[in-house]
Amino acid sequence: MAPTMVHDVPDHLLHRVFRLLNTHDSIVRAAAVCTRWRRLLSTRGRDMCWCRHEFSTCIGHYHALDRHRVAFVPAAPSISPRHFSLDFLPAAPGGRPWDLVDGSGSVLLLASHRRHGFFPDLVVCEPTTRRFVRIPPVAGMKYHRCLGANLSHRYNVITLSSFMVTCLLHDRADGMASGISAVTARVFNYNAPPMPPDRRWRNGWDVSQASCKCYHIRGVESARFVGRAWSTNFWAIEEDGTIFSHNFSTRVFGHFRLPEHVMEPAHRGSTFRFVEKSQRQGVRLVSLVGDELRVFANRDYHLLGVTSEWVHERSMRLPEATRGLPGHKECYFRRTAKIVTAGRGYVVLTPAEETWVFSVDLGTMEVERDHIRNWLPGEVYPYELETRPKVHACLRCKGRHGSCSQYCKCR
Amino acid sequence: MASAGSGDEKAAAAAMITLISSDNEKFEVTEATATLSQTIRHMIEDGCTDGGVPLPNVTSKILARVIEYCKKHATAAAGEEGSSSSFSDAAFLEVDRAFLEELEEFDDAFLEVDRATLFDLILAANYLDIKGLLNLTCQKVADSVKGKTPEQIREMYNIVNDLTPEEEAEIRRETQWAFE
Repeated sequence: MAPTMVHDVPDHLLHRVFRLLNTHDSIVRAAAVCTRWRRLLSTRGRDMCWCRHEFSTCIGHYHALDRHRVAFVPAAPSISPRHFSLDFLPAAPGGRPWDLVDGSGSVLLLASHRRHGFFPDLVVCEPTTRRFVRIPPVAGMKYHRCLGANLSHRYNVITLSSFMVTCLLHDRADGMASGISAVTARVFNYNAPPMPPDRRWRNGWDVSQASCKCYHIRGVESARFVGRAWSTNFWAIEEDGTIFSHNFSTRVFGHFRLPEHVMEPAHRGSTFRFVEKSQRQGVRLVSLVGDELRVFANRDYHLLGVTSEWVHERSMRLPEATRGLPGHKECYFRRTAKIVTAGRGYVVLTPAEETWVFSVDLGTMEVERDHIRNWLPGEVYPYELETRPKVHACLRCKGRHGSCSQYCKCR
Repeated sequence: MASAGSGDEKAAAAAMITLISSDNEKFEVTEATATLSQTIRHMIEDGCTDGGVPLPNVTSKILARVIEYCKKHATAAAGEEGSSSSFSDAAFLEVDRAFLEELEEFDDAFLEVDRATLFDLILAANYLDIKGLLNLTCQKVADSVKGKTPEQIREMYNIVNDLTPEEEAEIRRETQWAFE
């Protein structure tokens, strides 16, 4: 009998082996062995389901620092950060610098802000392949103001071959009382040339009726970004203390007021942030009142407008909690603290006095300073590796979902 | 005491299971050993083990090794149960650590096999549904892949490179950082 070889091992068992490969470079190298290994190590999930792959593919974090700087911190010392610099990007029109505004999968979204908050110049780039795509302004909306732009996706991990950019624009509403603006969300689709664009998802800005819906709201000029959870962005409207939200996956707007026990009117100016809770669809609200960190939870983001649903989870006094950490000074938190960034289940803070970044695990309320995301002060975007099941798109075979560039069973 | 002991022995003797490999070799094992395999446990629960359990996917060579693993791990499990009742906490921890160390040594030695046997063990562990053995063998394969270049992996496992030169160049271009 012939000895058993690796090709006698069925896919699900080999997949089990690959799940145990926990270093990023091992995964990339194993994916370069043969087509079968590449398919099994692809980040697009298996068997036509877009379930999230089970292996860690985060190879580092991009930090958006002040003064338009962007820094990359690799997840392992074996990864050289010089392959991840953004020096290949040309300067924005007018010689303006780029600001990192979003990151997802292996691509980054950068914006170059223009005067008066008019529609910014946008570029989407992929540092590993040193390629970029410029996003043109929406026809006829060049002088609309931009509330925010972010990357979104139809599948799990996005790359420069397939991504979407959602831009939230606002302008004075015609025929309305002054101070009321019309907010509209526009979506830009992009599929790389070898892939024939799907009929429903043409490249470029979506011009269908459904995507041009407006939402009228007062005081949007004073909006301040206060976090993202479950594909929903939140803004606090300073003028009247309400919260405005937009879900870029379902394209639904929301406008609600936080209940008094969560946000006392006196604390309206305080810092707070919406954070994803690890449990499905749960949302946390982290708020800083003086030197106290308060955490509230809502089990479903659909219910955010409902008063009774917010539960006070925990409170923590920052001076006491951080006392044992290296570099801690007694003078910290005399004024308050700032929220640097936040992600699923954690929040990164610094005292207002000086930059001394630490993170708080919202599940356990543990405080620590060593995590990779705490190295630099600024919004942080994990950079995830993407391996496609096929290196080149196959244009010969036609499957149910168009050509099999995503999934090819013909080889 | 004596009568209870003999009763236990009787029960143990009654609970012997016969496993039949693909080449018709018979192996007598205790029920405690056999039930490490979820597949056989379900067969025992369904009461269809009279006259032996045929395992058409497992050769005698591999089955002997699997039984060796199960015996060791079944006695370890039994030993832990026994010790927990008769020792104080500290002593229990001590014994526990000794057991674990011994078990680890056994596992390391157990995995010193050629590649074909390792894959056979993975397939057998999957068929018999033995979680511990499956994790152990998969970890061994994963460890052998870690830190190797694609060429080394292909050579090690006799994998034919079916990527075209253009595809390989593309992969290199995209993941330059991983190949240094």
